[in-house]
Amino acid sequence: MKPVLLLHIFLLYAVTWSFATIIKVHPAVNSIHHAANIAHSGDTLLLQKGIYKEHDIVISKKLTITGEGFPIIDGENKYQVFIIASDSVIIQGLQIQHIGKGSITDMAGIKIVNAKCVTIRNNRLINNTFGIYLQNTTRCNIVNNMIHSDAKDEINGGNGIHAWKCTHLSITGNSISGHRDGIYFEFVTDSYIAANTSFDNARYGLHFMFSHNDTYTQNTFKSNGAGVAVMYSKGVIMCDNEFVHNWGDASYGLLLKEITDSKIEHNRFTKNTVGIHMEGTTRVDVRRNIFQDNGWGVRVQASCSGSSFVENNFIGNSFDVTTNGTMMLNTFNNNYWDKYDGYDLDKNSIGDVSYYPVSVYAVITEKIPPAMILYRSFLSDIMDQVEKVMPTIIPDMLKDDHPLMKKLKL
Amino acid sequence: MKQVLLILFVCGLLGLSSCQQQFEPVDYGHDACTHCKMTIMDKRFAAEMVTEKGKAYKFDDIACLLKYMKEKHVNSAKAMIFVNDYNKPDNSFLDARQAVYLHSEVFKTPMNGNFAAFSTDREAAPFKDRLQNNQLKWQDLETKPINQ
Repeated sequence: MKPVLLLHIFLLYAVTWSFATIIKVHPAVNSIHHAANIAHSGDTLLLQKGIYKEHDIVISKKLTITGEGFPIIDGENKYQVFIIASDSVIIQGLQIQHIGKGSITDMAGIKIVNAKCVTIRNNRLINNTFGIYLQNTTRCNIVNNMIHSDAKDEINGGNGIHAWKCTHLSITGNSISGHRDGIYFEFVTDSYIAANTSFDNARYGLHFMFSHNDTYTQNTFKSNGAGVAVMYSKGVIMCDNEFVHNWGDASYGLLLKEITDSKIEHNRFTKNTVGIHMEGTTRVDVRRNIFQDNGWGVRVQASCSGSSFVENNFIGNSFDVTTNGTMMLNTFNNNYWDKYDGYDLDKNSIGDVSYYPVSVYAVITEKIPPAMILYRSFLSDIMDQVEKVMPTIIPDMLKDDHPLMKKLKL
Repeated sequence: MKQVLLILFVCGLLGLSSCQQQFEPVDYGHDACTHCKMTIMDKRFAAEMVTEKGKAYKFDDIACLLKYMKEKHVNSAKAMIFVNDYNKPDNSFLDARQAVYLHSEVFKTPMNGNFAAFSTDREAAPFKDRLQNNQLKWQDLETKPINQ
């Protein structure tokens, strides 16, 4: 009993000793600057509703900055607003807008530099060059923010959430639109991206570069200029995401380049020019995904090896699979192909003849793209039929020996 | 006579569109990099190679260009090579062989090649002093190993 009592007394005192004050801030010249200067570590700044025209606010103490009724902090298209250089800072309920553009420095609404355990939640970041910028940070949480830009000059714009040399980030429930890349990762490891919506960005909804052992799940990537790109990374887990309507000349639902030991599971690829484009990948498991109404379901370049495609549904794609060589070091098994017209005499719901998912016209257009103009013509139909009887052009190593007769319920 | 004229006209059209070796502007936000497939967005680091036959290959990073040339064993002597001026990113391309280069992590180029091109020594000077690193020429780039 006694130790418990002692502990209680200790805790009681601990609370009174560290009792943080709440500083109310009203819109005035340099009011946030002033409040941040006089505050002690552990205090809360409570920003009242209004417009604050302040910039380059450096937070170098452990503060909680809370907005009441979304106070607006305006960068006047010239400056950046928050620079967080301390651990455990929390920023919530603010609207940060009109960040300027710098040619050398990347200007952001909230910039976190060399800090740990910072939380940014429930903010609105509107018309900024970069929304949230993380540089050399660990264990930061970016939760439920709305990041949007109307920038017409998207080419010179920045990314919604930009992370560079970080570890253990958690980015969840954000909505990002109108930026260059929605979420950009460069040298970011062991991070978790979940339940975000990234749409109408000029380039990629999500962009990974040299970022290992990350997971992204339950995100929606819609109508981005070029879809999602995951490049030069190892151990990436992608599951339960939706890739919708990434349509255009150099657009991909998911572009994989130089990816090793990764998993793509239970995603939905709908109405993309190319569902998945793979180049130079090694040991990527593609399992239980739906490829529906894409131009190309999967494009596997000959430089890929050791990948497996198992239990996927291919429905209504113009071309299910295409490749640029005759070598195929990847396997396809137990997938459902709506174009499969084989039979199942032993009634085990697996087709008795192999399915060759690369159509002859897919091979031709891969080599001569303008030949697409004759697609679905009488000529191409004949070629398809002839090829079925006497395969000569299609890569015969690329086949599914156990095609499913019925669509998988995913 | 009419037919002859028509044939001549068509020939003329073909002639116009024939393969001249010349610079082709980069359509930012639409053109993809030949090497890494990324859409070219950052005007400061774009590069282009036009082959002897007049085919233009565009790149989003000078390192991509160098890597592509090495991988495909491009005869660089006959190709025209352009790099974007870091200081004047609005479609002002330089002849790669005349330009001067700096290599530093601060540039944060799209593919982490981290090369920036400048038109003259003087243009590069302010960066050079700040970064305290060596100025490079095209020949150095061609021989330098690329960390990508």
